[in-house]
Amino acid sequence: MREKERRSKEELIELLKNLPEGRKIYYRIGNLMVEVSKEEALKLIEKEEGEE
Amino acid sequence: MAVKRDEKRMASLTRQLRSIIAQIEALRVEIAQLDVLVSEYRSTITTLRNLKDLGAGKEVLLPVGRIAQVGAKLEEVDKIVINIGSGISVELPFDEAIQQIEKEIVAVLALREALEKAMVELYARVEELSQKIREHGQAEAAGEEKNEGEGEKK
Repeated sequence: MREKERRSKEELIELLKNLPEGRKIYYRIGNLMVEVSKEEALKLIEKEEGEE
Repeated sequence: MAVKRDEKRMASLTRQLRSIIAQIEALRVEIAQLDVLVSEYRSTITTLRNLKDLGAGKEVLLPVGRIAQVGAKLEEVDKIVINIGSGISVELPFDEAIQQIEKEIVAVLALREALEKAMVELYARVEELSQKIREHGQAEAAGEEKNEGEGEKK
């Protein structure tokens, strides 16, 4: 079972929102991990949710 | 007419049994995958602890693709980047990261337990259906013997 499927999007959004300021967040694009802001990460999750 | 009905019933029981066995097999595969996941998580915790103990300045090999590795110097292992799903990873302090992985292990084990419980229930259903099939088979055999006996009398 993939990590992606196990955690619900709501849980993920909650976790990100509660993350203290200054913590680095990365988004995986292929083999690359790109550093993103909290807002960008939230947008990416919402975008992914819209595509499903 | 009764024979046809019996055959239909037998076919239905066999179909149900096959379907349940397939479900058990699927659950078994899923449980095995969860076991691999738990083992990977545990191994990750061990690796992280070992790296932290080794400390900054140690030379490590960084895998590049499947066959190449390049040397790199280890920094203080006080921040860990953890994948939280949907392609997002967050940086967490060491202890928090370990706790996060341990939480994942607990969640996976809970899921595993639920799947095992479902499998036990399915095994009980298999037993029940097998019993029904056996009884059905015995009843059919007894019916055939009775018919043969009557035929011989005539």
